[in-house]
Amino acid sequence: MDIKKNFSGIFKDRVSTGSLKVGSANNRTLEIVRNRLFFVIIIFVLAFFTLGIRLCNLVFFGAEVAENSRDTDLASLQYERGEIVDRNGVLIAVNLATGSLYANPKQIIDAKDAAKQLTQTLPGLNYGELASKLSSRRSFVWIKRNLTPHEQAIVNNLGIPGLYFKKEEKRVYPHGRLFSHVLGYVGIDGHGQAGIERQYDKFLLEEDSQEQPLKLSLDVRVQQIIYQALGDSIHEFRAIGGTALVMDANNGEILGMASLPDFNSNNVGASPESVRFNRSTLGVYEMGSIFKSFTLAMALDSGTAKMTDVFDVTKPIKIANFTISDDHPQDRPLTLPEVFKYSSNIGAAKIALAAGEKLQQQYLEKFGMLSTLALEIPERGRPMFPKIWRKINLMTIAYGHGIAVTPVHVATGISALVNGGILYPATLIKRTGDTEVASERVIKKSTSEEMRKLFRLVVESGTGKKAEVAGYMVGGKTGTAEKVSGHGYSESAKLSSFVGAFPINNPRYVVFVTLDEPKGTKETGGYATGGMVAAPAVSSIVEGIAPLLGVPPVDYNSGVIKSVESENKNKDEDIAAYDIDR
Amino acid sequence: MLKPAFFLSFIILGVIAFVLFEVEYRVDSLRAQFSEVNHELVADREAIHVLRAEWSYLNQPERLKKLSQKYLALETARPKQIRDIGAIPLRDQNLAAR
Repeated sequence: MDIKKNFSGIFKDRVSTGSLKVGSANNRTLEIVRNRLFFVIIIFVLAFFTLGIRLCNLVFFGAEVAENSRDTDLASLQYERGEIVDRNGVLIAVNLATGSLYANPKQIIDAKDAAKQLTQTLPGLNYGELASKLSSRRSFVWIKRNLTPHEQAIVNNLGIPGLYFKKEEKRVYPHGRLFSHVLGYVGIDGHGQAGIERQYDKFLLEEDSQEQPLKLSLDVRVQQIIYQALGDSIHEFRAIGGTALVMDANNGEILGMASLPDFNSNNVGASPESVRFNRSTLGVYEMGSIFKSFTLAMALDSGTAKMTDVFDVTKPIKIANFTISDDHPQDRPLTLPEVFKYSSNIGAAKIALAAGEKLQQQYLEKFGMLSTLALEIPERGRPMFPKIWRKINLMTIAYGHGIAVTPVHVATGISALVNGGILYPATLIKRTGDTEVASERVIKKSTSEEMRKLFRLVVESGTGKKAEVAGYMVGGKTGTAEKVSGHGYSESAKLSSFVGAFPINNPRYVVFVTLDEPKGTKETGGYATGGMVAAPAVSSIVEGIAPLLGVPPVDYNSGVIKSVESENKNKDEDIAAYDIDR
Repeated sequence: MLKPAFFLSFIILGVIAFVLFEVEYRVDSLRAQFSEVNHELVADREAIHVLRAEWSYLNQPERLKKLSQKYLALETARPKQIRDIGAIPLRDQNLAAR
């Protein structure tokens, strides 16, 4: 209001001086002029004031306004799902940005021409379908999901108006089929549907996993070797499926695990539902003679049998309506190591009989054979065994019939038998130095040593000769189980397997291969037993992975090794002592 | 007395305005530069991400095996090719002295 006073003051002065000449008659007119002028001035002042404020605003705060509209936060690249890497950091599952092509048909000028051009450039599109889509009255139609950058460029170059890309992400498995069952897959909603992807769904969707990828215990190279060996064996023996796995005997880490038939993780829909079944972890099988390992370990550890004991295996055992006989019959009494070497069912049944049901249950429980698999994937198999443990069960379970477990169960148990007697739970996640592993002693150290000698004997001169790899001292046990069909066991449908550990004098890794319904070939003399079909696969796996994993070869004749051996209570000589063939 | 003070403050005002605008423009151009670099960074990271996936894809053991069989004469190491370091005899002391 100061302004008004001043201005009106000036006018008043002038007007008053003027009024002397003009006279008081014009006073009213002057008053009107003064008021109008004042009004105009106020408007101008307000206008300039507003402009000034806006100017200041733009100068001092304009940049910030502009900045907010751009994303100038420090560059960060967020994907919806974290990465999964193998034990050496090799990427095996990753989210990639893709563009999904959609159209607004209202903006498309020539639907037929657009459809024609698109079907010519993008594979998998149907011209008729697309043309009707593009000429519809809707304002949004999907054309194709998840285009590669190259495809996006091609579409952009077509220059068709009304086509747009929506930024999306796609889970990509660079190794395709290699880890199918272990990794599982991700559904269209971006959630894991099976395997590690499902088990770790929450973790992978967290932001933390962007910085720290999920590190598995698996090794891409080992996985490839077992995948190849298993595939070759299945092909050679016309099996309907199979599993292979490699486990670190000293901490339970699974370095490779394959189940065939499998699927391509990148395109799960293309494979039938049946192949998604994980035989390694969900499938439970009667493992046959491999279970003799657990029977003998129990007997030796509890003292119900000694290495020097002799068993009469010449006559089959008849119990109820059931006859227990041997696949490789010997017409003389056998020592305990020979029972193992020739895989005598009668011998194993007798050893179990001496121990009793209670002890057998106790030990199998300790070896983990009676509890549901504990592993970091949702597909966990529950063992099958009799509710009421009768004498007949005691005897058949001794040689692996009447109890069904998963291949991971077997590998975990065998690892404990050979590593000095400590059971480590199986894992698919890489163990780091500082995590405490819940391990448990299940048999004495001396029992484990005896078991190693027995395993070596089987490969050296028993049923598992084909598993040997010169230099890596493989030890193991064959298993040939007749599959249950209808009411009884089938002679022709077998589950043939071999479990091996190497180098058996100080085991580092356990390798386990099973083949489902293999058929004998000319080379195997028509036999499809574990020693004939699975043992060679184990051999080729050991041959491939041992140099990779830095296992030093054992020179059986080297003086250096022999002196180590003699410190180790003359392991070689002990083994030889049990080998009656020498 | 009033006039020099008026002129002085006018000059100071001018200088301040000039400096202010100068700084403002520099900040502005730096901001633009930052934004540009940031965008490049995001683009590069995205490219690295894709390249890592591609690297893993190209390093599939099966593919490497095929390439190795085609272009190299390498085979799986045989046990007899691997020796313990202790198994290598030491150099003859007399020879070494010479």
